[in-house]
Amino acid sequence: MALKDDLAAILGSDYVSDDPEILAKYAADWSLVQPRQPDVVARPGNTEEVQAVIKNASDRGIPVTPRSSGVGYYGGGIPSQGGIIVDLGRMNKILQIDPRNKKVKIEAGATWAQVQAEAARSGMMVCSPLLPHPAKSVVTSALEREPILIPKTEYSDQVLTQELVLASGELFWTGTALGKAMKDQCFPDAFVPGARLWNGAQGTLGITTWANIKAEFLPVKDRTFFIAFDRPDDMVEALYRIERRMLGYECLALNRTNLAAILGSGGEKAKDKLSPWTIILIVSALDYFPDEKIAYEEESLAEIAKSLKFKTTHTLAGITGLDAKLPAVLRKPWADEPYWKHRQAGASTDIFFHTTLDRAAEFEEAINKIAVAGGFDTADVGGYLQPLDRGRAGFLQFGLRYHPEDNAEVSRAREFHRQASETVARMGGFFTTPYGGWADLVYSHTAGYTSTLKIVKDAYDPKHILNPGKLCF
Amino acid sequence: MPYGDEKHSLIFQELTNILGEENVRHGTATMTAYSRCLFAVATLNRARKPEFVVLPRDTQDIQNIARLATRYEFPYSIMGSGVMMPLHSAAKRYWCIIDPKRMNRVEVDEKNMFAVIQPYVTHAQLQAEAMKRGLFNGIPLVGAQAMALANHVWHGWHGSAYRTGFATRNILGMEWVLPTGDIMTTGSLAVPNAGYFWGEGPGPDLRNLRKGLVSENGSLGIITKLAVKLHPWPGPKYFPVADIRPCKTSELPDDFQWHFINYPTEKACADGMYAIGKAEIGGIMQRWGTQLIAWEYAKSNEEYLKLLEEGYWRKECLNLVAICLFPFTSAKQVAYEEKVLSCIIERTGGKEVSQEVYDKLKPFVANTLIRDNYGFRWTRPGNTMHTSMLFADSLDAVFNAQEEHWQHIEGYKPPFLDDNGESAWVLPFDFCHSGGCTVDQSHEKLEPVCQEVMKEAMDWLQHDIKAGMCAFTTNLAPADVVGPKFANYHLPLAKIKKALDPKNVANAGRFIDVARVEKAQQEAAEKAKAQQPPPEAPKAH
Repeated sequence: MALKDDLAAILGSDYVSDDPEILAKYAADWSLVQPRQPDVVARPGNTEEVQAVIKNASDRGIPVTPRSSGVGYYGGGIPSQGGIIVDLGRMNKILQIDPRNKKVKIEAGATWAQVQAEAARSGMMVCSPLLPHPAKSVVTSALEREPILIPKTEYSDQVLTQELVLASGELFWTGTALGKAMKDQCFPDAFVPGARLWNGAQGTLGITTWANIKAEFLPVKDRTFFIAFDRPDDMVEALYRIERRMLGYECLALNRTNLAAILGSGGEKAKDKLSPWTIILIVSALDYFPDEKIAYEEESLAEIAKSLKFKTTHTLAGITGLDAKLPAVLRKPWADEPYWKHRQAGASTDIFFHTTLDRAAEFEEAINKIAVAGGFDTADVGGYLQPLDRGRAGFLQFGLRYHPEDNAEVSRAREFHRQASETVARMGGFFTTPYGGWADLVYSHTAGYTSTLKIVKDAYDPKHILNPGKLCF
Repeated sequence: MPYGDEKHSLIFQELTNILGEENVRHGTATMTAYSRCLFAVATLNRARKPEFVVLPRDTQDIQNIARLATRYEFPYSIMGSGVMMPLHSAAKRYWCIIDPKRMNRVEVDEKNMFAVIQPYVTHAQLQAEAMKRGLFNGIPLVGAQAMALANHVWHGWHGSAYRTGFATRNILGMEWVLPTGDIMTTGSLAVPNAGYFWGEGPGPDLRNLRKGLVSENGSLGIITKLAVKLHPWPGPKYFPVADIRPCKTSELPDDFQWHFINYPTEKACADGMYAIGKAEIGGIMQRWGTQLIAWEYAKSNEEYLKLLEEGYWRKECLNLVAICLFPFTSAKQVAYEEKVLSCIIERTGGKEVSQEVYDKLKPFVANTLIRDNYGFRWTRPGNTMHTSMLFADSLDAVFNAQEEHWQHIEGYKPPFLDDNGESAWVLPFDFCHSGGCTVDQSHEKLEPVCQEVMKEAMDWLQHDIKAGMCAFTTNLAPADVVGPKFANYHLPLAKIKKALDPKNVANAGRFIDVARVEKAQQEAAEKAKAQQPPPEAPKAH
């Protein structure tokens, strides 16, 4: 029987397609990664159907690429060797909101728009990365290690446990979800290997069907501070001090280009009045005596400001109401069209990596040089520095804005991305989740890690059917 | 020379060539010393001794030992303080114990809050270096004399885990000598010019090949350098202590505030902990079992027995939550959090202990947990101890599990001493996103008693396997024994172990028995084949 017929027998014909128009939609995403069309798209509705699809693919030796989000920015869901796209979009149930244990149990296709709305009804939130697309899968964000805006150590490592379908079609669970007697299944390390083996894997070691993800209580009161800097080095010192004193909830730094995009039309108009870099710090409080908590944190911030000679404000460039508005904005997905990164030119190509905060300035200088040499303006480069884990490390992202309808500019953007990636890798920027061309860039320099990773891949996916062509295999 | 066959002589000669004569031992006295520990299983396996003890100087030495072991097929393990000796002691002939005493360096990156440690750095050493710089690592219940590297990799339940997490999560870049002698680096250390600062990746996180509730005990290689997270420490650079053990006390500045809250029931105790976690206050929070308090507090066995007889701790602290408020931000933070804590205590039905109990707990039990502790004080009543249960999941699940386990333990008294138990040490992680507990028993170190203790351990292992409990017992058993009840997690592991350690020399025989897995698979395949109908005979044309 033909592949499509086999899959239709499993899922029903409504949920299997080889229509060229549909296949074309799955061939590319917003990244500059080379498009590749799948042979068929399957949309299972539950775990058993995922298992049946994978078993069929395994028998035939056909590649399977999972896709959980309605959008993709880095090429992780592009089927680089064709085969079946397993679109988990129908598996979008929120299975449990558990305030006592501060977690949500959600299926892989549950989106940021869904999950944050539902969690908020219980006074909770899942800590989000910077303004995710509303159609992006929450599970995917966590598995892709997208950094969260709140750098509390206690909130980090968001994936607690998960259910996976392995390449054999058999089920597997990570952490305490592996034990049928384990009631709440919220501890990530039950047996070797620990749960994080499956993170950052782009579906190459198994397909996640649901996950328990950390959730936090929504603050009842917030105060937003903006701290403007001309020099990134000065900003970084402030971030170190703020985080060492454990101040605030959301804490991030944006350059002028990114901040203007996020502030909307008001920001675009006021772009020239914005400083090169701005720290956004939201000081928040939970149920008990919120004013008192915010007061002592504000006092501590004032001490740091005095010592480092910076000023804190509650608004930017004369835009009114930001203090009250921004916490809610940052705790939800981006709501408008176009997506914030696409406002300026229609598209953006991103370079992002981990480093220590004190190296941010040297990376910014290198990226700007490459942008200018490629015929772009530094104002075309959005910058975002996210302190992680109380400032122990930083996530640095540069997004080059370009016009996707201009072929020449697309070509220059592609070259910028290549050069910038190579430069960052050479300087010691760490691509923790190596997408697209970054895989070769990273794994060609990590002989021991790469050979062991191949051993692990062979152990879990001996026929190499799961998202082949990604990572180093 | 205890054995003296040709293979032993060859290995001894080659080890000497690598390390120098002064760093290789095979004399009876040394071998005996490396075969003794406090646990029941070691008492029963006394006859088993290693044949070599070696002291490498650096990573290259360890690579050379691993290569030699693979070539000449002799088993080895690495042992630091020897706390968990039963998992690393000799189990086969020609066993070589690697003692990393000469690898004890620590380097701190103060700005980026991490330390790079070698295998023989103790928690005491690491914590002292961290505190000098306004940073903090954590001290496990087993004591500050334990090796920080092994503790982070193996288990890592630090007293501060409420804020600093399960310590295996605090591992950053890692240098790891594979059984073949090749080096693998993980996290940011894997790529050029990045350093040790980040732990995950690149891509799938191979740190996790070492991480379960406990680790693989060096069966997949030896970690020679490890970067660990340090956390902000708002306290003194030098931690003041007075007296010597067992009367050692220590004091924190006044802007650290301990509170000891007793609850009428375990349920109320759990509710109190959840409420504190929800409010995100405090630097340390634990539930202290009465056993733990008794062991840590008593300055002599006489005092221990006297308080036991009076039922003192059971009366005063049966469901005790201990919380220490830290001035991370400022002294005003502690004042604020004391106000919040008062509200929580009132709402959850707790009661602060009397001043008399407070004064007993704070200097002798509480403060010592931050810089040091009386690790293994609980061996005193019976000369040894036994962790009969260790478990992690939600706090609710932890409380339920320990209650069930106490009922089971009743059937084993004696040989376990009836020493004020029935409440476990409970440790929340990450503001109570999860938690763990440990139930420990003291017993005498006599052979018949140890046999009963091992029987209890095996009974509880069968209970956990049957019930589907991911716990300490199921982690200590070889993966191929428990794996069939847990989604066959052992099958890919067997392939990984075989690929990384083709001669099965790294802590051979523990963690997983690859030969047994392969034999079982072969038998299953043959059985399946036998059940298939015979192929039809070809028909004549």
